[in-house]
This record gives sequence, C-alpha cells and structure tokens, in this order.
Amino acid sequence: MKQLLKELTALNAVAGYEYEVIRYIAEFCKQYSDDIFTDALNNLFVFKKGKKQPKMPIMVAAHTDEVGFYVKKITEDGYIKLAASGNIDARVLPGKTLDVGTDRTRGVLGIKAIHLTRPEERKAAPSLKDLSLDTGCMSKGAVEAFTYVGDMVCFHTPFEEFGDNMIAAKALDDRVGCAIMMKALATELEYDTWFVFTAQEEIGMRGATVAAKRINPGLCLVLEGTSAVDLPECTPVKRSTFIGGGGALSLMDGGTIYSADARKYAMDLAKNNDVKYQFRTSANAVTDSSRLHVTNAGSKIIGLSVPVRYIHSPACVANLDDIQQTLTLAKLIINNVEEYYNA
Amino acid sequence: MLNIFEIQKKLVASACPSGSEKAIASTIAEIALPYADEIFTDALGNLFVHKKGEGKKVICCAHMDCIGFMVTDIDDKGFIHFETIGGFNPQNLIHRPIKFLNGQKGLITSEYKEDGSAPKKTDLYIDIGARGREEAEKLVAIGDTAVYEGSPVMLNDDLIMGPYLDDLIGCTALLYALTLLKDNKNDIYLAFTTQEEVGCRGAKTASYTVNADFGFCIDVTMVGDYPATTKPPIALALGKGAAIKIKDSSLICSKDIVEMMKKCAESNGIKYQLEVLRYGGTDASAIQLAHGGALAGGISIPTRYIHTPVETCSVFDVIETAKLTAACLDAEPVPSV
Amino acid sequence: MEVVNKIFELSKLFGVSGNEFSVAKAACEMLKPYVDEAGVDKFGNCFGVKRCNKPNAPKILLDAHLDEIGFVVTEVTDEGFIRFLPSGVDPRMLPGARMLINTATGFVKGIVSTVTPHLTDVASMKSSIPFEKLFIDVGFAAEKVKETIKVGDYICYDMQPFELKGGQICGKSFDDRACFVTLMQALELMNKEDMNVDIYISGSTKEEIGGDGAFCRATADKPDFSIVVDVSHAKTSDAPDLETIGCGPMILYGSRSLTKYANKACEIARAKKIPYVVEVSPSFSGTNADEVQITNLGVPCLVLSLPLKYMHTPVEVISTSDIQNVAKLICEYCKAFDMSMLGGAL
Repeated sequence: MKQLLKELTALNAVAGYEYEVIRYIAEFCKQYSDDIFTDALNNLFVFKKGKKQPKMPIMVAAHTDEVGFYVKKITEDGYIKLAASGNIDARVLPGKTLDVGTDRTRGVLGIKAIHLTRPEERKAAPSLKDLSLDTGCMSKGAVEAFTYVGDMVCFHTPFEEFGDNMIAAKALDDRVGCAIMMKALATELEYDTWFVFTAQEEIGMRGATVAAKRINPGLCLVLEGTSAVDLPECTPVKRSTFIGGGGALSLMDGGTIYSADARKYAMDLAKNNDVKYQFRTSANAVTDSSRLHVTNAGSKIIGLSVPVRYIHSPACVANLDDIQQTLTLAKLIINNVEEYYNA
Repeated sequence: MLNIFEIQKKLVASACPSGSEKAIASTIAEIALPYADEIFTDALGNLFVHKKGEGKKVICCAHMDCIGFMVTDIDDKGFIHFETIGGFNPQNLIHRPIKFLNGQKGLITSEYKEDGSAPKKTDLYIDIGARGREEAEKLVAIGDTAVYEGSPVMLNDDLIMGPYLDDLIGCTALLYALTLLKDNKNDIYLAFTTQEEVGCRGAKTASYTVNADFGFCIDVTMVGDYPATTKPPIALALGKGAAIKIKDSSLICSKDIVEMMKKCAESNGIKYQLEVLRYGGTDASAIQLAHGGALAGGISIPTRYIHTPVETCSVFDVIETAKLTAACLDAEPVPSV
Repeated sequence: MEVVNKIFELSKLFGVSGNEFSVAKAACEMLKPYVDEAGVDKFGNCFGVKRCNKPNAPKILLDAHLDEIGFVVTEVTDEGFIRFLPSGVDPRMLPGARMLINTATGFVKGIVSTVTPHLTDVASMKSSIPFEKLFIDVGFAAEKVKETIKVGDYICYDMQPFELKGGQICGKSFDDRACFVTLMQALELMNKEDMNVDIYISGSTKEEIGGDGAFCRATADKPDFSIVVDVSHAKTSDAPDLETIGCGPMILYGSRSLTKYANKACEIARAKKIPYVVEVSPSFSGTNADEVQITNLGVPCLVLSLPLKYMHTPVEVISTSDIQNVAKLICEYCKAFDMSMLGGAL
C-alpha cells in the first residue's frame, strides 16, 4: 500500500489533466479486470467480474484529480501567474514549490522578506493573485520554452514516511481512495463490481455527474480522503474525523444525506469483523456522492473516507492503519452486497 | 371526503427530516392505498402512487421531507451536537422542543452569553436530559435525526398553524386531490418526494423514473400580507386561493402548463392567484429537466412564517389547491403556439 | 557545478543560531584546502587563515555567517502537537511548512498545521493564521512525542535545495551560507595571485541574533580591515523597487561601510568590468559589520551583499553569476588593498 501510494502521489493530475493518473491506474488494473475504458470526461471505468452477479450493480468510486493550478499568465519579466483548480486556501502557499507542466519544471512561490513588510501586511492572508511563481526565468520567452498558458501546475511534494506509521504526501485527497480501489480490485471478489475513477471532482464533481449514468448502481460506495482536524484546541465535536480511528462513515454533507440503512450495513460489517471505523461528524464540503446518488433513478450511497490532515495543502498526512482499515471495510461492503440488497 | 386538519395532524405526527422519510412514507401510503392502483418506492425513498390511465403520463410531486436535525456527535456530558438538515435561521431554533424519530424528546438550546449576543449555529446543542455520554448513547445514536415537536392547531375556522406545513400540507392537498380523481384518462403518478429541503434530490430520481409528458409540484410559498409590509415581496395572501406558479429561482414554468392551470381553474370555478417567487426552488425544476426536458409547473399554497414551527396557511387555499391539482392531473397542457 | 554543490551541502545542514555545530564543522572541512590553517573556535565559529608570508602584511577579515533563522519548541501539547516560537519569520510563511526538529535523540520531521478550507469560516480566511494557532505535527502518538521532543529543542525549515532555471538556485539558509561559499571562491581566485595581505576567514555564528560570533572573531583576529559579506534583498514581483538578481555585488554606503571604502569598491568593479549596484543604509547594516566595526579599537569595514530573493523563507533564491562576481570583487579589493587607504580623515 505504501509503495502504491508513493507512486500514485508522485503523479500530477489537476482537473482536466488526469492523464498520468488514469494511465497508471489502467496499466495496474489490466491484469485484474474484465473491461477497462474511459469516457469523454476522462473518467476511468474498470469492471471486474466476481463469483456472482449481484441483483443490482455495485459501483465504487474515487476521484483521480487533485487540487492544483493552471498557468494563467506569463509576465514580461518571467513570472508565472496561477489560476487555482479546486479549493485552495492561499494561506498554505507562501514558501512552497510547484512543478510546472509534464516536464515538472520547478518554481517557487516566495513572498518578499519580512524586513520589507509592515506588521499589518503580515496579518492579512496572502491571495493567489498577489503571488507569482518564480522559476528563475527573467523573461517571458525563457518561460515559454517549457510551458504555456493553460498548462498544469502541481504541488512539489515528494512522498515521505512520517512519524509513526504515517505518510506525508500531496494529493492524498483522493489518491488514497484510488489506492484502496486498486488494492480491492486486485483481490478476488464475490460480486461483479464497477470501479470508477472519476475526473474533475475538485472543481464541481463533473466526472461523477456523468459516470453513474452508465452503471445505474443499486449501491454506490464513494472512497475519499477527508479532513481530519484533530488539532489541539479543536474539540472532538469540531474535528470532523481523527487520525487512528479508522475509516470515517459519512452522515451528511453539503451535497448528500447518506443512506442510513446502507451506513448501518457497513457498521454491522465493521463490528462483526473487528474493523475500526468512525463517523465523519461535520457536514461541510461536497463530494462525488452528491452527483452519484441522484443519477438516473438514484442509488443508495455510502461515503467512506480515510481521515487526512491538511487536505488541499502541499503536505497531507494520513495513517497507514486507517488506510488499511478502510480498505478492509470497503472490501467487506463489496463482498457482501447481496446481503444488503436482500435486507 | 378527507378532513384537511385531521390528515395534516396525522402527517405531522410522523414528520421526518430529509433523508429518513420512512415513517412519513408509510403513513401516506396507508392513506393513499384505497385510492391507488399501485404504490412503490425507489432508492431515494420516494413514494409513488400510481393511478392508471391511457392518456398522457403525468407526475405531480409534493415533498414529504421536512427540515430537521441530525446527531453528529455526543459529548462527555451527554449533550448532543447536531447539524441542521435544510435551511434554518439559528435564532428560530433556540429553546425549541424537538423529538427524535425513535420518540426521544429533547430541546435545542445554547449557553447564555454574557454579552447578550445572538448565538451562532455552532453555539447550539441539543439537551435530552442525559446524565453523561453513556446514558445519552443509550437514547440516541450518531446519525439519528429529529424534527420539531408540535401538532397543528386551528387559529380560526380557516387558518391552520403548526410545524411542517412545508410541505406536509402539500402532501395533504395531493392526497385530497387523489380522492377527487374519478375515471382518469391520464396515466397519473403522484410522487411524494424525499430530500427536497436539501436540493430537490428525490424529485430528480422520481422524475427520471416516471419519465412523464408533463408534471408539476405542490409546495408552500411565501406571502406578502404581513402587518408592517407596505411593499409586499410577493403579491400573494392567505385565503385568496391556490397560487399558480409563474416562476421561482429554480425554474421558469412552462407556459403550456401555466395556461393549462389557469384554464382548469377558470372552468372549474377554482379561486387562484399568480405566484412570481424571487427566492427558493421547488421540485418542479427537477421535473422540467428530466430525460431531456418535460413541461413543468407548480401550484403553491400561500404560507406565513415558512421554516418555523408556526407556519400558517388557509384550509380554503388547501382545498382550492387540491381541486386545481385534480383538474390539472387529468388535463392536457395548452400548446402555446 | 562545484560552487552549487558546496552551497547545497551547507544549506542542508541544521544550524539555527547557537546550534551551528555541524555547519561549522562542514564549513571548516570545506575551507581547509584554501587556507594555511583552519579550525572551529570555542565560540563555535569556523575560522581560517591564508598568509601571504610577507612581513607586516595587513590583515583583512572576510566574514560570512553560518547560522540560520529558526524556531524553538515552547510546549508539547497533551495531543502530541508542538507549539513553537519563531524569530524573524513572517507568519504567512508557516502553514504547511516542513520542519526539522533537532532533539537529543536525533532529527524529527514535522509539518506545520494548516486549516482545512471546507471547515473554515470565510471571514477568518482573510487574516493570516497567527503563530499561536499553528502547531507542528510530527505524526507520533502523544506519549512518544513527549518522550522525544523537549521544550527548548531547536527547529529549522526542512528543505532540500534545488536548481531553478537561469542559473538560479533555491533553498533554505542561503542567507548566509552562500556567502561563506563565496568567500572560498574569492580565496580560490586570490590563491592564483601574488597577494600582499593576510586573509582571515570567519564563518561566524549567531548573526541572526546579534552578531556575537563575528564580534569574537574580530576581537581575536584584530584585523586592519574587514569585508563583511551578507545577502541583501533583490527584486521580486511583490517588491518591484529593488535591484534585479544577477546585478552583481551590492556595495553598501552608510555608517558601517564608509563612503571611501565603498567608492573604492565601485572604482575597482568598474576597472575590472564587474557588474555592481550600490545600496544605502545610513544608520545600520543589519550585518556582522554592525559588530565587527566596534571590536577592539575599531575596525574599518566594507559591506558587500549577494542579492537574494525571499529572505528568511525556506525558498531563498540566488544567482550563481552573482556569487562569481561578488567573489571577483572581494579578490580584486584585497589585491588592491593598501594600508594607506585607511585613516586620512584629517
């Protein structure tokens, strides 16, 4: 799992540029699957036969895109101005380095030295429009030699093992979901299952909007990396999820009220198999679930997420045991789906 | 003939928030059963009441979900932390009695603030009287939902007041309309939809499932007849009849449907008003977009104090709405060209 | 390139003011081939001497500091997160920053906490996150954190240096270790020349907290003249009024770097076709010259600066061409130095 996440998080994929990730995943899945194809939005569909065909299709989804940037403008003096793809708090940007384009030319988002600032400037949040990516080039032409307006820009964050059984990397939202899907589909499954790696989640769930139309699932399992705000001064009520508590089952969020009976099905599986789980206690944010469960005639929906600290920042932190517990629960949900359908 | 007040009382007694509409669905199904050819549900919990016919396929939605509350966490002292389901103004929530779907009573409250400032949503919590986490966890679980506690009352011989007119009064009107249908030509689907209050989610799948030629929804709408309102935000008043929707912020009603509704009202002597709503969306938007487009409109029941536990409307308007609904369900859109 | 490798090697090391041990050791090893004598003094400074072996040769002290800005642990919370005290750092630089904590049992990597956009109210997003709301996460259980990390442990940015385009490089603590490497470049040039001065090198400590290291070196070496080499602000997109990186040495005019010595530097630069710019700071320099000038009976100083972008951040940027030009000017200045340049006020 660690190695897989290392490789997945080394790939760059902002919404609209999911190619590296879907190619990698498709290559991995080839030997385990019965059908692989992509659609107009670059959703990647992987179908795997199980021992039986379920009453209704089951679909598992995770998104391939990550928050990042597009090159918006190249200035005459060689700076790159950026447009954000996804929800990025500009306060995480100063002092970070970014990779531009598929060749990954590295640049830096500096802010001027503290000596040149006034105290009130330091109290204000930086904004993306005031930040410039500095690649060392001093002319527009020098920049245009390796990139273009519209090119992809991603956080430069090498994968690292961190603390005790933790990892630090970029894009754990939602490569961690992709990795769990890949591990699950590499195992023998009880039921035919659709694994859909969705595109363009971070800018409005565009891929998911069309993805479920093909499948018409009876049950949809959405795997995410979700905020863990288990910091000091953050009461348990406000932390949403916490590291070490296992996968988080969603109650509701800005786009979905998760099916209570499907959640109970997942909780019972977890309890009976000694799998750790927790609840996602905040109702903020919107995920692919919001689109998937109301597609066509609708489906039951389970949101299961790995708690991740500092999501949407250059360095996300997750716990390998949480990931393992989430994988175990995801497999149980897939492999017992007929029980749920019959209940 | 159904009694509007009695039906409404029955429905409010099984009111459910968006996403957990099981109890209300079975109450409605029970009332509808003698009049229906077929009753079924879908993955989102929508309840379909089918009245067969050979003519046009019609869908009429009234949403059976209500705004409410969901338990997100339980603290060591046994207080319940919650998220609101649907749109609320926090100041309408303080010191309100509520009940969980399992029957547990409680109240929403917040700690007294020394500076006298109004509590924010994050300051609110639910007190169920539990002495500590352990006791609380025996009474409610994370993910459980709750609604306002309360039952409707008649303010006079016409005005009904209580929680959840939005949109259980629409469901009442739709059930009433069902009893009025006799030997219908059209193939009629009454959809008691789920999750309207969080974005018309049930209506999306319901409209897809029915795939109707045309359809409309019954919902409550705001009024302008308040004491201090000199420039009403909307030209609607209680007791002046059903409101035929021209537009709201989620759709512009199909002209063919608006004309059909006017014609049905006029030929049946049904009193109506016209509704141009600036804010708020309804299930009609989902009907209009399903399967590449369908003709869609709405009939509304003018209601005061929407999304509070003291919503108020006129029984007369409800009956006019039901009559107009019954007429429209077996009518045909009036082509505008 | 050798210069870049040397800068990278020093840049990677931990050397928050007062904790420059490994930097001073590495700097000393690097310096040895260029000098007759090198070592680390009792104060922790790296020093070296290159003699011209001529009688009564003037002594010139070349100074660059080895310490870097950093942080110190102030509390380990019950949840296992670390509160810390910064110095000389813009708080906007911290959320999501990678940190290296120097503990008694070795280095521990950490990440400064951020807030999640989905769970943040919009109003608060207009302000930067104040220091007291930031924590370092090291990913260990609370008991292990309490066991490993103690109040008073020092912290620096965790940043591996790298090359940008256009001959520029990026990393932490280029302020001022890049200048120490520049001094070695100058020595390499001087070693090819017939010099008439003895060169004393000081890789000094504790500049960022007041210049105590340089004070000790200057006191011990008793130089006749000193060239203090530090970094100075170059133009960035948010500070457009400064000189552009690649402009060559920045020659300081002011009370710490008197006009006649600065004039001489400009004159030499013009004669040797070394690009340069001038800087003005009348009342102080913010460099070790502030201390060196008042050691012993007083030391005349010249301040030369290497242009640098984004000072006191983990992503300081310099140009390798500037390093060569600063080194060249140091060499030419020392070559041209003559005791008669000093004094003469009357």
